[in-house]
Amino acid sequence: MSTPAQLVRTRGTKRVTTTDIARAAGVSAATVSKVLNGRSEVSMRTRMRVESLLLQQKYERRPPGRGGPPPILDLLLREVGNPWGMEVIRGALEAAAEVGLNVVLSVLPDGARGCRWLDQICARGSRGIIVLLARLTDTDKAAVRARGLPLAVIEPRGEPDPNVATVVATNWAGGYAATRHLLELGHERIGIISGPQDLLCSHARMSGYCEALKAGDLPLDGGLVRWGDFDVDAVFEQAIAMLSMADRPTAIFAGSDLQAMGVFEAARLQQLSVPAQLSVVGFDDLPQSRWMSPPLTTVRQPLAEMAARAVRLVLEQGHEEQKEGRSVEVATTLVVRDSTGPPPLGRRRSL
Amino acid sequence: MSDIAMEAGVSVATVSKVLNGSDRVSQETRSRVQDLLSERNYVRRPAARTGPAPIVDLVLREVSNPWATEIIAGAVEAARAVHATVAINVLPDAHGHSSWLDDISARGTEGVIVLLARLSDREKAALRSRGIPLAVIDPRGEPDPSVPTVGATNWSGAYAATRHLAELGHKRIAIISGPRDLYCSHARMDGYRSAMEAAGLSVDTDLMRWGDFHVDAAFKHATAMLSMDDRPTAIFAGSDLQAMGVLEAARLAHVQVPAQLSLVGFDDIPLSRWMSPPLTSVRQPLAEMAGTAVRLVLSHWEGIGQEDRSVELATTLVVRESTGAPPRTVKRAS
Repeated sequence: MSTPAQLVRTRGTKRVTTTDIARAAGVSAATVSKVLNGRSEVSMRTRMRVESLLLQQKYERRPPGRGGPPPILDLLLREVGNPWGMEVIRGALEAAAEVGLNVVLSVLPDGARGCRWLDQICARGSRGIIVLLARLTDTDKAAVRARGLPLAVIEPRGEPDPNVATVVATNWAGGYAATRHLLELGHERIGIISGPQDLLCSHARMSGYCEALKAGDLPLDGGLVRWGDFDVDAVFEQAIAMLSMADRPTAIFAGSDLQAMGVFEAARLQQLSVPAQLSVVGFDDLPQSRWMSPPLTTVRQPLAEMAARAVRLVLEQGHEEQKEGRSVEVATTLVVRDSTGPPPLGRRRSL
Repeated sequence: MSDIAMEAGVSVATVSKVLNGSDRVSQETRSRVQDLLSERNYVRRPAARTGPAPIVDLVLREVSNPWATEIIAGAVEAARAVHATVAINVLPDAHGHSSWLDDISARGTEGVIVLLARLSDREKAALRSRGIPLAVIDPRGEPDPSVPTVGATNWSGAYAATRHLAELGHKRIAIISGPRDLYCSHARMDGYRSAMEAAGLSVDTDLMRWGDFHVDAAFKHATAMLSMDDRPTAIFAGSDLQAMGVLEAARLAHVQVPAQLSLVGFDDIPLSRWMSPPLTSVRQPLAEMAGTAVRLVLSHWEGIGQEDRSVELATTLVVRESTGAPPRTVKRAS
């Protein structure tokens, strides 16, 4: 009975109107429209009768007219074009399409000034905003809230904001699992190149790594701990630096699958074969990872599902009383493929 | 809008500035106008010429395909340059009924760009009757004369890739083209054949394969070809994803790239730079193609002429590290 009536789409040619439904239910058209819009001032019994009729008669919602925002969901991105972001976009599109919404993409590069993007969104109306890696200032967030636009953030940057709904992966657990996997293979010299330092998830993965080392009674070596960037080039250089150390690591945990590609290339140039001389673990499990040479061991985070959760968080805010700062964590899992193995002989862990 | 202007005691132009997010309005006026707009439930007329951030609709079938990534990125970037935004519409499979056209015309759109999907004649007619401009991005299909189409030069791309390999001294050059039922796969196969002929090399039908643009099929073809006695010293893969499959087949067959096998991809997606070794590839200007399509559909309100609207953008060979001279030890067919 809780199926929202606006989900119903049919192939019918003649459109069933709210008046038809109202007549059949013995209520006014206004009441039907209240049910459709999720308003609360309708008795439970009437609501149920109207909803079952809507379903039965295959009511197709008219395009929203005056007053309501257009069926648009805004996705605000730091950049378009990295494969990681595409998985999120795909998930958001699928979830939005299910409820008859279009996704509009806008880019907010780091360092962009002003609220023009927000003015533009407000001017045409929107059901809500999902932010992916774009940096929102407190002023931005306040402006969004003031205009009554639902907001959800996927993997926030900067300090966590309890007032904003967020979706994150279990990054700490992912970092821990990746590191423990390497420890169990016998590695002692395990490097990490985490993501950009202003991303909360980079820190969570880093502390998962530290914790796993501690649990394995291994000391933390500052030389093996590096922060990456959004850019693969930077990671590539970090990997080259790490692999040129006298006491180079036998395993590297990279902040993303893309970054793992940079590590692979660094290893190739240093004539280290993966996994015989260097084990590599990524993070994300992009579709391409299973086709890297060798196929990548990585921590899978369900990016499309995270996007779908964000879509739901936004739409819920539009309906009920805003649940301040709801946040969702989705689980990560280690996917073991061929880029990890025991360390080379002579560099195994003495037990 | 004039009602709001009168009530706020400002000009219509000022209201319009607020609606358009222009910053040449004082904070005070802006908030007064905004309050009134929301109080009066002002609704912008769809697709008004002077409206805020026009929406360009990109229609596609599949998002998680590296092409789509590049196209979307290019479209968003080009739209941003003219203060427009891009809405993404994913069509249901095959002939599933979809109300996308009604939905977008109800909320207003500046134009429709279709990627790798064919619209029915009915859909095309509906767009025309509603005055919605249409452009098609199709790097692989046969141009549709009834619609402005942005494509790429497949034949020349394949020709350049094959000539590059021939110039390095390769004689046993294989091709894994795209699916047999696509126009572009044939254009590429023909470009390959012409370059082989121009270099005075004979073509071996065992080394001419049809793939499907995805990794798995290319992996199988490459594995088969690399186990031949007279195996190729170079493979031209019909896409970068196919090149990934070839690379993995080579690794498993203990064939080194490029020392024992040269490899050229097609597309030059961002990942190809980070393949190990970095991939030599035929660059399809996907982002530029998307940008061109955005400008094509927006030209109706930018006041640009509509003539000459089908475009083929040039492909270029990007030489990286996956190609080199053939090994001396592999015996060659004469």
